[in-house]
Amino acid sequence: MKITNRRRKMVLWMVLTVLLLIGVTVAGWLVGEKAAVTDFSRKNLAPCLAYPFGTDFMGRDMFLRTLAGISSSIRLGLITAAVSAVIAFFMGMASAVLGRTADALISGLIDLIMGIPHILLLILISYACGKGFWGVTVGISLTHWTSLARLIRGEVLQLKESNYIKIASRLGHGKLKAAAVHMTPHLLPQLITGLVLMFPHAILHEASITFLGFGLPPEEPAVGIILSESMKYLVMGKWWLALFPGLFLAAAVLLFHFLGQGIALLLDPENAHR
Amino acid sequence: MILEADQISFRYDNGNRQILNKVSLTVSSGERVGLSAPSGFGKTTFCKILAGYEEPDDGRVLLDGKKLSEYGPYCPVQMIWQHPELSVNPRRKMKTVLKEGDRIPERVIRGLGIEKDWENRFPGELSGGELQRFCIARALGERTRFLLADEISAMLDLITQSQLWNFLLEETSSRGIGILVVSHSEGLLKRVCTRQVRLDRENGK
Repeated sequence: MKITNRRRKMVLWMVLTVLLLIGVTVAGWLVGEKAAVTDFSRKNLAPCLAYPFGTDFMGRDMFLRTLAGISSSIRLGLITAAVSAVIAFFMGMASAVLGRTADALISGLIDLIMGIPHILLLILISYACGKGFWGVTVGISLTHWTSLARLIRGEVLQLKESNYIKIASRLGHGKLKAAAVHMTPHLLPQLITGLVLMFPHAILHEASITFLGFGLPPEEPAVGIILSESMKYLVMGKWWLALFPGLFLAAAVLLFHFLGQGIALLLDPENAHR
Repeated sequence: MILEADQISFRYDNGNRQILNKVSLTVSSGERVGLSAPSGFGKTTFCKILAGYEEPDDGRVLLDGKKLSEYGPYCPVQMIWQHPELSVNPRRKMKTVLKEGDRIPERVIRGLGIEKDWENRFPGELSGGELQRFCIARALGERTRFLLADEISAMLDLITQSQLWNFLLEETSSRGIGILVVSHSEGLLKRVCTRQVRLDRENGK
């Protein structure tokens, strides 16, 4: 007897993935305090049973730090990717649907933001917002929607010319309804792909501006900070400082990638009955 | 009601030749007018203008003496397109296609031979003929007064063609809907229409 088909199995896997990611995020949030505890009696320990990921030069437990770091990276990546995708969706849609003036304005804005070097704008916005977690979040969200918005705009312009959208307008459906009902299903895969690609990008940006001193405060356990700190100790044979946080970051990104692919597959009518 | 094309001229923006040159045509309720011409003489373009998809460069489309645009969001003149696969959204299920229309009576859906089971499928899972039935049903909403059938049965086998046209003849004559039938098939036009017009002869008269 067959109780599950491939679709259900995939949904099950995706639910497990989401639960795992939520678990890591919440756990990391809760251990935030403990991850900052320093103890010089146990510094530079290699991975052992008590400290599975070892400890660093200040005697901090690397397992807790990795957990907390991944957690803040996931939160930051998710928020910024989601906000960017939403901005991109509405900007792209407005640019293509609202007429020539709106299109010129939004395209101009996109060119303007793309014309300024990424990292410079990011630093300015982050600094203006008072640095820290929210400074970085606002900075990355406001600078990363442009290329996706352009993609969405092109897609909408193409969709507008399709017969079924024209027919919908002769059947009395307004522009808003056509956009919501007819265009959104075509744009979702792009948005989800964009969101998934944005996630590692955002985390790396967080790491880089933190490294430059305009991001998160140095005592906060973030993967970017952990990695840049461990660079100094890597040549001294302290491989565990960079390996585990790096692996976990890669794993988190991969899980998101898998989720994004899964959602795109589920939404695609070509696969509706598999 | 009377659908009237008054001295319509049209040329596409890409600098092509004048496709329509002062074409006039009148269709009244209950009438079935056949429209034929060789390929490239603007039959589809003419339909698009009559249904309000395109604005003519010159001339007017009048429905009972009023401009088409004055009839509110739902256009009483509905066109059925030649390519059903391009006329439905590939990412939405077929039941949403029926809902797009203007309260389509159950009688129409059954009369066109649409099976309940099809409504839960995506367009890619139906054949062209099956899709075309949905497109015809969608155009037969309550407020439709005129139907423009642009080669709607060219891709179908003869049995399905006769089934569709028998239904359309019955439905339109009972509701007093006027039809403009565009086709290359002399036999079909002779069988279905009350009168025939050659677009290539009307052009530039």
